Amino acid sequence: MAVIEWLADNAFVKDIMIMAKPALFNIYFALASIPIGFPLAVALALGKNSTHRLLSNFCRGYIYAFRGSPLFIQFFMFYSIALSMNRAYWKPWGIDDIVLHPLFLGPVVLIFNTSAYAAEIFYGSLRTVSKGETEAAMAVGMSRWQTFRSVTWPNMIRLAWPAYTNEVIFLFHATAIVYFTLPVINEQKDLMNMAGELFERDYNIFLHFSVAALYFLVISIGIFWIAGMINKRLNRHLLSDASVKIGFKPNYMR
Amino acid sequence: MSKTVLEIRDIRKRFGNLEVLHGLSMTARSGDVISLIGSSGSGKSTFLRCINLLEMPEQGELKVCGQQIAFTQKGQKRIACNQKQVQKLRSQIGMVFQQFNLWSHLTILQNVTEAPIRVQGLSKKEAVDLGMNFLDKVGIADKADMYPGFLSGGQQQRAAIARALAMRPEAILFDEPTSALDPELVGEVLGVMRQLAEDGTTMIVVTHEMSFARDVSSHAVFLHQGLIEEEGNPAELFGAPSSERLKQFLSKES
Repeated sequence: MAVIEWLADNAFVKDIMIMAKPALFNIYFALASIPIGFPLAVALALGKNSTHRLLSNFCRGYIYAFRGSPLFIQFFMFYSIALSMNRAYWKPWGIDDIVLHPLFLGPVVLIFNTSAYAAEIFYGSLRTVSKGETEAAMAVGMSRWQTFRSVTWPNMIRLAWPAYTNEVIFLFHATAIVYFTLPVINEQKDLMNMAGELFERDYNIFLHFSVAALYFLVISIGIFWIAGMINKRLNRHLLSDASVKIGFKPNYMR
Repeated sequence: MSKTVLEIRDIRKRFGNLEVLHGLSMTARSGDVISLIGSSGSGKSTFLRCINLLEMPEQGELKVCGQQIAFTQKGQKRIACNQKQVQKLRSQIGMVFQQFNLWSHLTILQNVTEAPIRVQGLSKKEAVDLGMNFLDKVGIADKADMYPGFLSGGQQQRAAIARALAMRPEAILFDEPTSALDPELVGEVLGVMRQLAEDGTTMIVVTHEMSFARDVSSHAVFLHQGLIEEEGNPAELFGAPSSERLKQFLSKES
């Protein structure tokens, strides 16, 4: 019993308990962005690689814009634009609660951002797919779509995977700045809000942000683990020592 | 008289300002084994790639199994009127590449069954039966479930031949099939090709293996600088070359 009492009273354990729910918000932002950001990125990469001038240039421009400006500013920009359009559009249409909600607007900006970064990754891998293999597919009479499905797509994903894993990690870590721009509604706080709030109560410089970082570390390990399994599967046709390994390399700058 | 599989007339191909094929014609009847010989840069491979339109010739006509391929002009470029017709052509004319170009992420058996399933719409079971049959024919049925990266060059090339055979094509194009192989592996691939020739497979072979051209082929063509310098019965061509260039070439090659 004494142990339980000690645990319940321990500041570190308390922080961990308090931040469990806020962590879900960071996970939500990542989970809401990736399933849409991924196909959008693939589409942008294919668009950039297209021989259609207009389409290619549009994709190039999009990727350049979102890769060339800070995510932080993109959040401010989109939020202020969304706010300014409220009177004219969202409110009359009755969707202002949804559009201006951070749980909607947050993922939207993240999707725009991550799709641009990931598109560049996929574009790079698309260009590296063995020309001989796609030629062999065309030579047996496959259409362009069949060639893409059978040969280009599996190789493109395989080659891009380690870099894309990095992008997913970046994205997850970037969720920490969503609420720096967007308003916190009720008790919907993420790890950074909560850590900041706890810090302002007791000015414990060691504890609160460390616990928040710990949450990011632990969840990142989960992402590495899943991505590693997928990577192994994607590279099963290579000799085991020749496959690309994904290391644990957190990157805090963006 | 056996039926005409391929009729190629006056093929011209230009890369930029450099015309590499100056009007080549050739007819292949069912069961023909045609060897294309010549020094590098003579246009052998380019000519072969023009036959299944991996390279688009600027001029010339192409008739496959009596079907005339229709071309049209689009700006500076010449394109096929109907991509479906090109795919049909390619499914009827197999190709074996110098670098094998097996699909590295698929097993040997999947490499062989992929096109029959996707292009010809065979059921998986039919394709597997067919595929195993051809793998057996080229002597690597025991490697069916392995990935190409685990096989020797000779085995990979035999797998590539099985892949071409699995489409049950009217003719197969071989683009220097033994040039990327170690000397001791050349024999096994030539053995398979010899067997195919005896079975009556129509083949067009670009090769530096003079003994193969002399002993196996029914017709030999000597290319020089994008033109047919001399052609005819291999025994006559090799025994008593009439042109000075062929004499020089043969003395260098053997």
